Amino acid sequence: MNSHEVISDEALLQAVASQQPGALDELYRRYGGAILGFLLARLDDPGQAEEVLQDVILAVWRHAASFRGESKVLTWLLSIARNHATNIQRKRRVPVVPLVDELDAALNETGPLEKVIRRSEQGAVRVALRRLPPRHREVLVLVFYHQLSESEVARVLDIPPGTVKSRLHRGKEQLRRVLLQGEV
Amino acid sequence: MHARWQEMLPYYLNGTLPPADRLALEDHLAGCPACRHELEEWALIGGVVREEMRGWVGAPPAIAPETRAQIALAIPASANGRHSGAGYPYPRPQAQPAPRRRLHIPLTLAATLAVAAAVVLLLGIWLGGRDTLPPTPTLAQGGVLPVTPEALATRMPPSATPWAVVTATPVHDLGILATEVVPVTPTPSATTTPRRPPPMWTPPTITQTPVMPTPTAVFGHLIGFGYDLVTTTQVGPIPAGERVRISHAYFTGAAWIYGIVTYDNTTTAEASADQLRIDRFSTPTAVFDRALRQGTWLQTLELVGDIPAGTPVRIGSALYDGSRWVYTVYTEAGLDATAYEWQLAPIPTATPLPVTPTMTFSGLIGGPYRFTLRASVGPITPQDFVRLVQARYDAGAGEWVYSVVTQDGRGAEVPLHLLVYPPPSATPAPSLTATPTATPTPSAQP
Repeated sequence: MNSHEVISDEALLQAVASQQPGALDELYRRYGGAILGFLLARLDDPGQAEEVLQDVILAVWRHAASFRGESKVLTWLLSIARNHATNIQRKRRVPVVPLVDELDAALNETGPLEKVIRRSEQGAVRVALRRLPPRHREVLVLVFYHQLSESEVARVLDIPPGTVKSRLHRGKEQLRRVLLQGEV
Repeated sequence: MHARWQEMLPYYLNGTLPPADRLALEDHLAGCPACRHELEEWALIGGVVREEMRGWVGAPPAIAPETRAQIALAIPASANGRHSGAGYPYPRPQAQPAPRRRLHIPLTLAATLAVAAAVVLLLGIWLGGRDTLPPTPTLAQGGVLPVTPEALATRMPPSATPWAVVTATPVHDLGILATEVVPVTPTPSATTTPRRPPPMWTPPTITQTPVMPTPTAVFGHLIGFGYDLVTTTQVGPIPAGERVRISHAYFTGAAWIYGIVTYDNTTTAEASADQLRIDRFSTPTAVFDRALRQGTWLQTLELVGDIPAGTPVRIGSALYDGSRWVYTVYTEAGLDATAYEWQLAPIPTATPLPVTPTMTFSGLIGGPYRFTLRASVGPITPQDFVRLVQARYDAGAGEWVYSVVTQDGRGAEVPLHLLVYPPPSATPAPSLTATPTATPTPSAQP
């Protein structure tokens, strides 16, 4: 191994693949929070998210050797997380109540978003984000929290770039509306 | 129309827009109030998302003991010949056209001034005519954050969780530890796993989990490093006097608990420090050390990675992982794979050769930042503390060569004769998990 690659994510993943002590821990230190953040955004259930996180760690350890450096390590990790999250969603299908969609027709109020955010108490903002449907929330999270490009978001979620665009737009509009609703 | 420009705005803010698009967008923004307004809204949303996600995620939980136990017992796909993702269920992302910088300031100076002035002006008009609440952190972060270097530098801060158990005790204390370990903690049940506290999701005001100072794990330096421990009493299903290794450790808030695995890898339990004693078990010499030293060709006995059975291979490096030697092997055609001893055999015609000396610091690969160098090597000076990451035997020089890394990420390959392991009186290097603000923590070690 080239010594200068020692600290790169790619080299770290190679070290995980060859079972070097501490490598998985270091990878987890770098990306555990990012993976958990994605799972929280997608699953909307902290207990389940933490459970899936453990599955993802195990999968990463088992399959680290299959990483070929064709994407960023973060994108690869999040793809694995998405797969595991999808599996668990299939197993435990919970009816999703599209709260925000129902509000779409009722709320046509528009106004400066900044004012809305200023007025909302700390909790209201969090509630607003929570009330977004996961498919819209996760796109916002991947763009602004994980800071992925459009094509990377598309890869992680396995959806076409056009769908990323529309979900991002819908997410923004819905956040605006939920925040307005939160004032009431 | 504006649609194309407006689609770019989120990626402009997160710094992933290609440079050509970025410059074009900045030109457009300079003359388009509508898009500037849209940009501002996105900036606010981005700030909210980042801030709220940080609060939600908080400090991610440690890798669960159950997961560590599975990791300790499982063999990865690469070691079984299921290499290179052939049977891997996850879609592999497409190749990326070109690497790009992750962190850049997405505005030229002129454009920064123009846009920032516009944003400030707009905000001023906006706020001036409305209620005069003091600016909240949300507004400040959301509105201005994306165009400042500080803001860009805040992406995905590393977790501050002290779950890593590499706060190792220096190995030079081994002899003392072996005879003077005083149990300071009550004996936990060997079979029950303490539950993690429920994760925070709903409480709206808490954004950071307070982190308790954690005492150093007495056996922290031995985690994953071989069967250097013996049980002093019956621990769950494991009888007294059994040789074990530590698979993982965690701190319950009152005591360190060690996950232990028997030598035959079949039985696991959880033990407290007083249920274990150190009994050094030296790293066995690798069976193929001679091949490593002399460049002798071996052959594969079965499919290893992409390398078929019966292929002549050379050993590139060998690593003792605590229970077995793992070799990186290469074929003449340039294929490489990770192989265990039982997957390789000498080619019958090869001449027996002298044995390579056992690696000096085999137990400290992946250990703490306690080594220094006798002379500068590459970017690393004798003032830096480094840890060992990997080792290979340099047959030409007849010496082990270690890949080392500093805490801030500088790496180099250093031959054994340039490595210094500090004497007991040396000032300890900063621990991997220490935070600058942390108060000195009591050690479990007397």
